[in-house]
Amino acid sequence: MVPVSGAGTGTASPFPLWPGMPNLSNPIAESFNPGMLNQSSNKFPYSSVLPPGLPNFPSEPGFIERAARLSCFSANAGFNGLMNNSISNQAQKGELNSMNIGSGSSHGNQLKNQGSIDNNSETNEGAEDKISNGDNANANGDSSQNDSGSKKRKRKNQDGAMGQGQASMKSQEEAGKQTSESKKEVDNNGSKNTGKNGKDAADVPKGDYIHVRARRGQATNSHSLAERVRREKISERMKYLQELVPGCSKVTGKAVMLDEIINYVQSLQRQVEFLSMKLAAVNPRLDLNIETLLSKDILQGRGACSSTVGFTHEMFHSQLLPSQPGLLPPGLPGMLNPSDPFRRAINTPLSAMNPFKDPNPQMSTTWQDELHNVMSMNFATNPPLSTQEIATKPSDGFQL
Amino acid sequence: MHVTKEFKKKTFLKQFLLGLHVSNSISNPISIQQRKNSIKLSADLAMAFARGRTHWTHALITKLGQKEENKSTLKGILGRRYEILMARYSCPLLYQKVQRRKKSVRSYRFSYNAQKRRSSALKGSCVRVSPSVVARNLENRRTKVLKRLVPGGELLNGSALLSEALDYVISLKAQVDMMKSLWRATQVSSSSNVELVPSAPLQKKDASCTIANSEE
Repeated sequence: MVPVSGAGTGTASPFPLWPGMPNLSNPIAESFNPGMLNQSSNKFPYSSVLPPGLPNFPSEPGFIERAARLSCFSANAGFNGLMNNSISNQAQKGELNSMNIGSGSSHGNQLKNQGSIDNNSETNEGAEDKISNGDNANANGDSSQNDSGSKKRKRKNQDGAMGQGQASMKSQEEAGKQTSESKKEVDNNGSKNTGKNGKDAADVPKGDYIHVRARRGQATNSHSLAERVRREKISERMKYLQELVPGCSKVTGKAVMLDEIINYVQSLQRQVEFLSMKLAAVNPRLDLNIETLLSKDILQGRGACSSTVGFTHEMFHSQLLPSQPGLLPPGLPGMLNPSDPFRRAINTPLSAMNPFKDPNPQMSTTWQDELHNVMSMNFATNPPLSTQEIATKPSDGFQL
Repeated sequence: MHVTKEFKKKTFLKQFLLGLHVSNSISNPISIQQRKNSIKLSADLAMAFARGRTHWTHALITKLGQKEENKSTLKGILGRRYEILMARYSCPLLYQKVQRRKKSVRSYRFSYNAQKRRSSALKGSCVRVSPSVVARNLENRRTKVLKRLVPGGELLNGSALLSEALDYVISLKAQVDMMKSLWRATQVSSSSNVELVPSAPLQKKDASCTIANSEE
């Protein structure tokens, strides 16, 4: 059966977190992403937490953040394989937890770890028909005693029997140290928090389940709760996709979004085909000289250039076209002059162009850089990118 | 952030060049079509390797490995791991199950539509379909298309499919960007090595910029 990747989502409002919740001390759950905790609160700096297995994407900062969130959010199971040791994983989760704690405290939620007593009181509630086995994070006793709306713990775990839950309750009484789960629950103390929805996005290492609370005035049927969770997950991802696919900010509705996504994927695939055809047309077929050129060139000076140009290529089209004739002054073709005059020749038209138009100034400079690199490669005695480097098997990045 | 991007770029490039190298050495492709295929294969593999371990990367590699013409290249790139990979991820049973299910869905839908048609023909009036049903049908149809597009999407559903599609879109975009920069670099190097040739006019669709337009 296909495991649900990324079970559990957070809602729009940030959640309180159990303060002082220590880090995970047990093997990481495959199917849950700690990144989900932070998804909806769009303020967290993700750059420090990103696992190395991130895809490469353009350098637009907002895009980076979004995609960072997305990659944390999607397929954490994959990242578990990427991370070689659990320590780094825990460090990541610890960081996420700490970020959550920060947000939780910032919203002034009084979240108390009331221990097992509240758990017992919870179990005695008539409304409960499912008991979440697990930790003291369950014990938001004060919130459970609130009769506002109707609350229900929902357990999406396969091994779900009441007896099991009670047994785990008992074990919880003694050992309130199952702090491995960092649950976020809205404190529904009194009536002031009745409006809040309380869906937990639990960091579930052991039990594979999600705490869900029914909102006020909504059906408490377990099926409808599951439906709602599923729907919110899907809408969350739709939102990210909306940010990702260009030109979809105004589109609403699942069907139309799906259409846009399909079109975008198809266009990207067609672009790949087209580009591979173009590259194939370069004669001869990318022998080693060009390979070394390319690899050095691309790795060195082109990071910003490629990404910016690639991403907003339509914008730069019109700007680049008039600038191109100036880039290679006449007299260049044929055999190349020594690099310095060439560079100088390039510099002047570029700098002359800058005041007139306002293309990205980094555009022109990166073109400069690129040309510099090419020139230096042509003239300087570069050791070619060692064939050993090329010939090594892909040992990094894809561990089976 | 920059560290991870650089890392991805390097991995992609290395992998891409390695793939080209291998396919070049294995069979010297003559026609442009063959070259294009090998380039595309190398690029896809590089993208999958650069991304890491996700569902769609496994599915993509498996799919590519099952085609006859790619097997030798893959073997050359992966080496020993080729057999492991193929054995692990190409469960024919799973795909057969999916196929069977698809057929049954299709046949069911066909019969259902036939029934609708028959009933409407009998009644002599149009079948009233509520807008929600229409929306649902649209959505289902498009989900099916998306499943076909995303590698490994056949087996996923709902939010998982969307997240895989998300990841896939990001990686595709990165792949396209890398290939564009590769192309541009070849243009630059070729234009600097030989006399400038007027390159093809910029095409809006592809949006790859070429430098060598200085003749005009």
